[in-house]
Amino acid sequence: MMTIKAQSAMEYLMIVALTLGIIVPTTYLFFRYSSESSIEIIDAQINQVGRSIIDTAESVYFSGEGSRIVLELSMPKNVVDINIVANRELVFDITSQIGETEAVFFSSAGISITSDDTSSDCVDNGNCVLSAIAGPGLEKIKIESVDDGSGGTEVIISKP
Amino acid sequence: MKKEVKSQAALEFLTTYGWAFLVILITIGALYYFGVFEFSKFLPQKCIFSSQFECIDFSFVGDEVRLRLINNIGEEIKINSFDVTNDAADPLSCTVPSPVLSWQSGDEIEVSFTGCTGGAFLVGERTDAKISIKYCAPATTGCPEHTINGKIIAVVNPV
Repeated sequence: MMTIKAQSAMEYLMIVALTLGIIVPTTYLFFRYSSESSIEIIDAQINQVGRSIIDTAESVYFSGEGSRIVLELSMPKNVVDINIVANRELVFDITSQIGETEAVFFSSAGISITSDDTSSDCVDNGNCVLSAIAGPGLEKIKIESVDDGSGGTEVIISKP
Repeated sequence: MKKEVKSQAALEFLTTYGWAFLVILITIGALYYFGVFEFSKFLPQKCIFSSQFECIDFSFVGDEVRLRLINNIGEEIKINSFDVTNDAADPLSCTVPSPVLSWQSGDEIEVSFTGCTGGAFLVGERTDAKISIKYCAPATTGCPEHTINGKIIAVVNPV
């Protein structure tokens, strides 16, 4: 009677051990795969957002002064800050599992981009803060073509 | 008499179980020692970079980290510096390649870090290398510097 009980207990333990032996490595491999895939997804999202902003800025610029487009874009949570550098480069500061990195999108030569930042660094050097649109989730971004004050046109990127 | 037989059977039962557990523990220990439970070796070798700097080939060979990148950023850029490290207690350290003065849009470059030491960089072992590249676009006024980070996870191959 005791032998039968011991046998069933042993069989039970073996089944539990076998099940755990399958579940634990499978879960580990699944999480490693999914974390690596998430980096690629974030990269694709940021490329899509950056290209949309730059393409729209170029459309608005060539449409002439006064033209305006409001974009609705989904910003990934890994974007910690957005800046415009030298009136030309749209820079996304990103944190991911591979550390802090930057994604840079360049406007075409001759198209000056700026933001509603009124600091002297933005006005004088074209290094403007665009942190207002860096939050995660759906963001509305206004892109407007305006007079640059010297007879030309510049494109302002801001939150409406 | 009946009690003695029962206790003997119980002791024999426990002894058998004890031996069984001991054998199982030793077997698990031996399997662990030989790396059977290192599930990470079943993961693919990967080179993770932004699509703006697409990594098309990579390898760890001997004491070298090699990778090939494509400039997908859409501009000519200038590489100011390269860096490589990892999260090991004794981090990976290599001789870095020279700066690239002009990297045209769409072109490939081969980057080789040589004389790598530390960072669990041993032949047959799976390890990782964090690559950092500082670059700027000469077409932009003042050539402002930017940083791109990437990671390679691979097995170190013999020369």
